[in-house]
Amino acid sequence: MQVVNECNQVLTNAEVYELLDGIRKSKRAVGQRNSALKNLATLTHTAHKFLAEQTPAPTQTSSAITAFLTDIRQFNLSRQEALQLVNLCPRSPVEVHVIVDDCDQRLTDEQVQMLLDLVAKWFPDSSNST
Amino acid sequence: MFLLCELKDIVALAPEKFGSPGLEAYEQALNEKLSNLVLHKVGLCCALWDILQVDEAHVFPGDARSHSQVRFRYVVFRPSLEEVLVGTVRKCDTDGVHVSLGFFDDILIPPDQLQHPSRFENSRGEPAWVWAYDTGADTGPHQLPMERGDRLRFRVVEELWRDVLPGGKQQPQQLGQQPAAPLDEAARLPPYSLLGSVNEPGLGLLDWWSDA
Repeated sequence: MQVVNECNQVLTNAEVYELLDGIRKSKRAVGQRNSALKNLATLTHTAHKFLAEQTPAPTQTSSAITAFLTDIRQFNLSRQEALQLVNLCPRSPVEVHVIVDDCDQRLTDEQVQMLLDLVAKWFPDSSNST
Repeated sequence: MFLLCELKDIVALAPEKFGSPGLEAYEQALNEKLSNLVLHKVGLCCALWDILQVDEAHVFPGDARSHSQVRFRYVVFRPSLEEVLVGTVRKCDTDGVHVSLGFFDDILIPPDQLQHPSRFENSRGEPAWVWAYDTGADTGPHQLPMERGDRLRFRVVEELWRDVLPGGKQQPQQLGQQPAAPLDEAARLPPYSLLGSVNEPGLGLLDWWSDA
Protein backbone atom coordinates (compact mmCIF):
# COMPACT_ATOMS: atom_id res chain seq x y z
CA MET A 1 0.00 0.00 0.00
CA GLN A 2 1.46 3.30 -1.01
CA VAL A 3 0.12 6.78 -0.40
CA VAL A 4 0.38 8.75 -3.63
CA ASN A 5 -1.32 11.90 -2.42
CA GLU A 6 -2.34 12.31 1.19
CA CYS A 7 -4.93 14.93 0.37
CA ASN A 8 -6.03 14.89 -3.22
CA GLN A 9 -9.20 16.84 -2.52
CA VAL A 10 -11.35 17.94 0.41
CA LEU A 11 -14.96 16.77 0.48
CA THR A 12 -18.08 18.35 1.94
CA ASN A 13 -20.25 16.26 4.23
CA ALA A 14 -22.94 16.37 1.56
CA GLU A 15 -20.71 14.62 -1.00
CA VAL A 16 -19.79 11.89 1.48
CA TYR A 17 -23.44 11.49 2.41
CA GLU A 18 -24.32 11.01 -1.25
CA LEU A 19 -21.64 8.34 -1.62
CA LEU A 20 -22.77 6.45 1.47
CA ASP A 21 -26.39 6.69 0.37
CA GLY A 22 -25.43 5.16 -2.98
CA ILE A 23 -23.58 2.31 -1.25
CA ARG A 24 -26.57 1.55 0.99
CA LYS A 25 -29.03 1.62 -1.90
CA SER A 26 -26.91 -0.63 -4.12
CA LYS A 27 -26.44 -3.16 -1.31
CA ARG A 28 -30.16 -3.23 -0.63
CA ALA A 29 -30.93 -3.73 -4.31
CA VAL A 30 -28.55 -6.64 -4.65
CA GLY A 31 -29.55 -8.14 -1.31
CA GLN A 32 -25.91 -8.68 -0.56
CA ARG A 33 -24.85 -10.23 2.72
CA ASN A 34 -21.15 -10.59 2.25
CA SER A 35 -19.64 -11.08 5.69
CA ALA A 36 -16.26 -9.93 4.44
CA LEU A 37 -17.74 -6.47 3.88
CA LYS A 38 -18.81 -6.23 7.53
CA ASN A 39 -16.48 -3.27 8.14
CA LEU A 40 -17.90 -1.35 5.21
CA ALA A 41 -21.42 -2.07 6.44
CA THR A 42 -20.62 -0.87 9.96
CA LEU A 43 -18.97 2.30 8.78
CA THR A 44 -21.62 3.07 6.16
CA HIS A 45 -24.40 2.60 8.67
CA THR A 46 -22.85 4.67 11.48
CA ALA A 47 -21.50 7.46 9.27
CA HIS A 48 -24.74 7.69 7.28
CA LYS A 49 -26.70 7.89 10.54
CA PHE A 50 -24.44 10.62 11.90
CA LEU A 51 -24.60 12.69 8.72
CA ALA A 52 -28.35 12.23 8.35
CA GLU A 53 -29.30 13.03 11.93
CA GLN A 54 -26.70 15.50 13.09
CA THR A 55 -25.68 17.53 10.06
CA PRO A 56 -27.56 19.40 7.35
CA ALA A 57 -25.85 17.24 4.70
CA PRO A 58 -28.90 15.27 3.43
CA THR A 59 -30.72 18.42 2.31
CA GLN A 60 -27.73 20.02 0.57
CA THR A 61 -27.57 19.72 -3.21
CA SER A 62 -24.38 20.27 -5.18
CA SER A 63 -25.97 23.16 -7.11
CA ALA A 64 -26.88 24.92 -3.87
CA ILE A 65 -23.36 24.42 -2.55
CA THR A 66 -21.80 25.79 -5.75
CA ALA A 67 -24.13 28.79 -5.73
CA PHE A 68 -23.38 29.46 -2.06
CA LEU A 69 -19.61 29.29 -2.62
CA THR A 70 -19.92 31.75 -5.53
CA ASP A 71 -21.95 34.14 -3.42
CA ILE A 72 -19.49 34.18 -0.51
CA ARG A 73 -16.46 34.93 -2.68
CA GLN A 74 -16.87 38.61 -1.87
CA PHE A 75 -15.89 37.93 1.77
CA ASN A 76 -12.41 36.56 0.92
CA LEU A 77 -12.70 33.54 3.19
CA SER A 78 -10.20 30.70 3.09
CA ARG A 79 -11.14 27.31 1.62
CA GLN A 80 -11.25 25.79 5.06
CA GLU A 81 -13.63 28.48 6.35
CA ALA A 82 -15.90 28.13 3.32
CA LEU A 83 -15.98 24.35 3.77
CA GLN A 84 -16.92 24.72 7.43
CA LEU A 85 -19.69 27.16 6.57
CA VAL A 86 -21.18 24.56 4.25
CA ASN A 87 -20.75 21.69 6.70
CA LEU A 88 -21.95 23.49 9.80
CA CYS A 89 -24.59 25.93 8.40
CA PRO A 90 -24.32 28.54 11.15
CA ARG A 91 -27.58 30.18 12.16
CA SER A 92 -26.29 32.85 14.55
CA PRO A 93 -23.43 35.38 14.58
CA VAL A 94 -21.56 33.62 17.40
CA GLU A 95 -21.29 30.49 15.23
CA VAL A 96 -19.82 32.55 12.37
CA HIS A 97 -17.26 34.03 14.77
CA VAL A 98 -16.20 30.52 15.75
CA ILE A 99 -15.71 29.47 12.12
CA VAL A 100 -14.00 32.58 10.72
CA ASP A 101 -10.59 33.46 12.17
CA ASP A 102 -10.24 37.05 13.44
CA CYS A 103 -13.84 37.64 12.46
CA ASP A 104 -13.98 41.00 14.27
CA GLN A 105 -11.22 42.40 12.08
CA ARG A 106 -12.22 40.85 8.79
CA LEU A 107 -16.01 41.14 8.73
CA THR A 108 -18.39 43.84 9.91
CA ASP A 109 -21.63 42.95 11.68
CA GLU A 110 -23.52 43.64 8.45
CA GLN A 111 -21.29 41.24 6.54
CA VAL A 112 -21.79 38.55 9.19
CA GLN A 113 -25.54 39.02 8.82
CA MET A 114 -25.19 38.81 5.01
CA LEU A 115 -23.34 35.52 5.45
CA LEU A 116 -26.09 34.17 7.68
CA ASP A 117 -28.72 35.26 5.15
CA LEU A 118 -26.85 33.44 2.36
CA VAL A 119 -26.66 30.29 4.50
CA ALA A 120 -30.38 30.52 5.19
CA LYS A 121 -31.10 31.13 1.50
CA TRP A 122 -29.17 28.17 0.10
CA PHE A 123 -29.49 25.78 3.03
CA PRO A 124 -32.86 26.44 4.65
CA ASP A 125 -33.29 25.16 8.16
CA SER A 126 -34.99 21.78 8.26
CA SER A 127 -34.78 21.91 12.07
CA ASN A 128 -33.54 18.39 12.66
CA SER A 129 -29.90 19.44 12.60
CA THR A 130 -27.86 22.12 14.42
CA MET B 1 -13.70 16.62 7.90
CA PHE B 2 -13.50 14.19 5.01
CA LEU B 3 -10.89 14.20 2.33
CA LEU B 4 -9.88 12.10 -0.65
CA CYS B 5 -6.61 10.25 -0.37
CA GLU B 6 -4.98 8.84 -3.49
CA LEU B 7 -3.50 5.39 -2.83
CA LYS B 8 -1.81 2.67 -4.81
CA ASP B 9 -1.98 -1.02 -3.96
CA ILE B 10 -1.78 -4.47 -5.49
CA VAL B 11 -5.12 -6.24 -5.59
CA ALA B 12 -5.26 -10.01 -5.97
CA LEU B 13 -8.46 -11.43 -7.40
CA ALA B 14 -9.43 -15.06 -6.93
CA PRO B 15 -10.58 -16.92 -10.08
CA GLU B 16 -14.22 -16.98 -9.01
CA LYS B 17 -14.21 -13.18 -9.30
CA PHE B 18 -12.92 -13.11 -12.89
CA GLY B 19 -16.43 -12.98 -14.34
CA SER B 20 -17.57 -9.96 -12.29
CA PRO B 21 -18.78 -7.00 -14.34
CA GLY B 22 -16.49 -4.01 -14.79
CA LEU B 23 -14.45 -2.98 -11.76
CA GLU B 24 -16.82 -4.43 -9.19
CA ALA B 25 -14.38 -7.07 -7.99
CA TYR B 26 -11.62 -4.49 -7.49
CA GLU B 27 -13.98 -2.16 -5.62
CA GLN B 28 -15.08 -4.94 -3.34
CA ALA B 29 -11.51 -6.03 -2.64
CA LEU B 30 -10.43 -2.49 -1.77
CA ASN B 31 -13.43 -1.89 0.49
CA GLU B 32 -12.83 -5.21 2.23
CA LYS B 33 -9.24 -4.27 2.85
CA LEU B 34 -9.55 -0.66 4.01
CA SER B 35 -13.04 0.28 5.15
CA ASN B 36 -13.40 1.34 8.82
CA LEU B 37 -9.68 0.94 9.43
CA VAL B 38 -7.10 3.56 10.35
CA LEU B 39 -4.13 4.15 8.05
CA HIS B 40 -1.23 5.57 10.06
CA LYS B 41 -0.81 9.33 9.46
CA VAL B 42 -3.59 9.26 6.86
CA GLY B 43 -6.85 8.87 8.83
CA LEU B 44 -9.88 6.66 9.23
CA CYS B 45 -10.65 5.08 5.84
CA CYS B 46 -14.35 5.17 5.05
CA ALA B 47 -15.24 4.01 1.55
CA LEU B 48 -13.88 3.87 -1.96
CA TRP B 49 -14.50 6.99 -4.03
CA ASP B 50 -13.26 5.88 -7.46
CA ILE B 51 -10.63 3.84 -9.25
CA LEU B 52 -8.21 5.89 -11.35
CA GLN B 53 -6.13 3.23 -13.03
CA VAL B 54 -5.77 -0.55 -13.13
CA ASP B 55 -2.48 -1.85 -14.50
CA GLU B 56 -2.21 -5.09 -16.40
CA ALA B 57 -2.79 -8.28 -14.44
CA HIS B 58 -0.10 -10.83 -13.67
CA VAL B 59 -0.46 -14.45 -12.64
CA PHE B 60 2.35 -16.00 -10.62
CA PRO B 61 3.32 -19.67 -10.57
CA GLY B 62 1.57 -21.65 -7.84
CA ASP B 63 -1.00 -18.88 -7.26
CA ALA B 64 -4.23 -18.90 -9.25
CA ARG B 65 -5.09 -15.29 -8.38
CA SER B 66 -4.54 -12.41 -10.77
CA HIS B 67 -2.53 -9.52 -9.33
CA SER B 68 -2.81 -5.96 -10.60
CA GLN B 69 -1.63 -2.66 -9.29
CA VAL B 70 -4.57 -0.33 -8.76
CA ARG B 71 -4.46 3.44 -8.27
CA PHE B 72 -7.60 4.72 -6.50
CA ARG B 73 -9.04 7.42 -4.30
CA TYR B 74 -10.46 6.66 -0.88
CA VAL B 75 -12.66 8.80 1.35
CA VAL B 76 -10.77 9.36 4.59
CA PHE B 77 -11.99 10.96 7.79
CA ARG B 78 -9.33 13.32 9.09
CA PRO B 79 -10.49 16.69 10.40
CA SER B 80 -7.90 19.43 9.95
CA LEU B 81 -6.48 21.21 12.99
CA GLU B 82 -8.59 24.14 14.22
CA GLU B 83 -11.63 22.69 12.46
CA VAL B 84 -14.94 22.98 14.30
CA LEU B 85 -17.09 19.86 14.60
CA VAL B 86 -20.39 18.95 16.24
CA GLY B 87 -20.56 15.71 18.25
CA THR B 88 -22.29 14.02 21.18
CA VAL B 89 -20.93 13.55 24.69
CA ARG B 90 -20.18 9.85 25.14
CA LYS B 91 -19.05 9.95 28.77
CA CYS B 92 -17.45 12.23 31.35
CA ASP B 93 -14.65 11.16 33.64
CA THR B 94 -11.57 12.59 35.29
CA ASP B 95 -9.69 12.47 31.97
CA GLY B 96 -12.16 14.97 30.51
CA VAL B 97 -15.17 14.86 28.22
CA HIS B 98 -15.24 12.01 25.69
CA VAL B 99 -17.06 12.96 22.48
CA SER B 100 -18.43 10.64 19.82
CA LEU B 101 -19.35 11.20 16.19
CA GLY B 102 -21.17 7.87 15.84
CA PHE B 103 -18.64 6.39 13.45
CA PHE B 104 -15.62 7.78 15.34
CA ASP B 105 -15.43 7.70 19.12
CA ASP B 106 -11.88 8.61 20.08
CA ILE B 107 -12.24 12.31 20.75
CA LEU B 108 -11.29 13.72 24.12
CA ILE B 109 -11.62 17.22 25.51
CA PRO B 110 -9.12 17.37 28.38
CA PRO B 111 -10.00 19.38 31.51
CA ASP B 112 -7.68 22.29 30.65
CA GLN B 113 -9.52 22.81 27.34
CA LEU B 114 -12.96 23.14 28.89
CA GLN B 115 -14.58 26.51 29.53
CA HIS B 116 -13.09 28.14 32.63
CA PRO B 117 -13.89 27.49 35.40
CA SER B 118 -15.14 23.90 35.14
CA ARG B 119 -15.21 21.15 37.73
CA PHE B 120 -15.93 17.42 37.72
CA GLU B 121 -19.03 16.30 39.59
CA ASN B 122 -20.13 12.76 40.32
CA SER B 123 -22.67 13.47 42.99
CA ARG B 124 -25.92 13.05 41.05
CA GLY B 125 -25.24 9.54 39.77
CA GLU B 126 -24.38 10.74 36.29
CA PRO B 127 -20.77 11.97 36.11
CA ALA B 128 -20.58 15.39 34.52
CA TRP B 129 -18.27 18.33 33.95
CA VAL B 130 -19.91 21.53 35.09
CA TRP B 131 -19.03 24.99 33.84
CA ALA B 132 -19.60 27.69 36.45
CA TYR B 133 -20.51 30.61 34.18
CA ASP B 134 -20.27 33.90 36.04
CA THR B 135 -22.85 36.33 34.68
CA GLY B 136 -21.94 38.95 37.28
CA ALA B 137 -25.44 38.67 38.77
CA ASP B 138 -25.96 38.55 42.51
CA THR B 139 -27.29 35.00 42.38
CA GLY B 140 -23.81 33.68 41.72
CA PRO B 141 -22.51 31.75 38.68
CA HIS B 142 -24.82 29.65 36.46
CA GLN B 143 -24.07 25.95 36.72
CA LEU B 144 -23.96 24.50 33.21
CA PRO B 145 -23.38 20.72 33.17
CA MET B 146 -22.03 18.66 30.26
CA GLU B 147 -23.58 15.19 30.49
CA ARG B 148 -23.83 12.05 28.40
CA GLY B 149 -25.99 12.54 25.32
CA ASP B 150 -25.55 16.31 25.09
CA ARG B 151 -24.64 17.66 21.67
CA LEU B 152 -21.69 20.01 21.59
CA ARG B 153 -19.55 22.08 19.25
CA PHE B 154 -15.79 21.76 19.70
CA ARG B 155 -12.57 22.67 17.91
CA VAL B 156 -9.95 20.04 16.99
CA VAL B 157 -6.62 21.09 18.51
CA GLU B 158 -4.43 18.03 18.18
CA GLU B 159 -4.34 14.64 16.52
CA LEU B 160 -2.56 11.70 18.15
CA TRP B 161 -1.19 8.80 16.15
CA ARG B 162 -0.11 5.54 17.75
CA ASP B 163 1.44 2.77 15.70
CA VAL B 164 -0.29 -0.32 17.09
CA LEU B 165 1.13 -3.81 16.73
CA PRO B 166 -1.01 -6.32 14.80
CA GLY B 167 -3.41 -8.24 17.09
CA GLY B 168 -2.51 -6.07 20.08
CA LYS B 169 -0.94 -9.13 21.69
CA GLN B 170 1.79 -9.33 24.27
CA GLN B 171 4.66 -11.82 24.15
CA PRO B 172 3.45 -15.47 23.87
CA GLN B 173 3.03 -17.24 27.22
CA GLN B 174 4.89 -20.44 28.02
CA LEU B 175 3.23 -23.64 29.26
CA GLY B 176 2.67 -23.75 33.02
CA GLN B 177 2.84 -20.01 33.50
CA GLN B 178 0.00 -17.84 34.76
CA PRO B 179 -2.21 -16.44 32.02
CA ALA B 180 -0.81 -13.18 30.70
CA ALA B 181 -1.93 -10.09 32.58
CA PRO B 182 -4.58 -7.98 30.82
CA LEU B 183 -3.20 -5.52 28.29
CA ASP B 184 -2.10 -2.35 29.98
CA GLU B 185 -3.71 0.96 29.05
CA ALA B 186 -0.91 1.99 26.72
CA ALA B 187 -1.44 -1.05 24.50
CA ARG B 188 -5.20 -0.46 24.31
CA LEU B 189 -5.01 3.15 23.11
CA PRO B 190 -6.57 3.81 19.73
CA PRO B 191 -4.38 4.27 16.63
CA TYR B 192 -5.92 7.65 15.83
CA SER B 193 -7.47 9.99 18.34
CA LEU B 194 -8.24 13.66 18.55
CA LEU B 195 -7.98 16.24 21.29
CA GLY B 196 -10.57 18.97 21.25
CA SER B 197 -11.23 22.28 22.94
CA VAL B 198 -14.39 24.12 23.95
CA ASN B 199 -12.59 27.02 25.61
CA GLU B 200 -14.02 29.77 23.41
CA PRO B 201 -17.24 31.74 23.03
CA GLY B 202 -19.53 29.76 20.78
CA LEU B 203 -18.08 26.35 21.70
CA GLY B 204 -19.54 23.86 24.14
CA LEU B 205 -23.08 22.56 24.32
CA LEU B 206 -25.28 23.77 21.46
CA ASP B 207 -27.94 24.76 23.99
CA TRP B 208 -25.60 27.23 25.69
CA TRP B 209 -25.39 29.43 22.60
CA SER B 210 -28.75 28.95 20.88
CA ASP B 211 -31.01 31.94 20.65
CA ALA B 212 -33.89 30.35 22.56
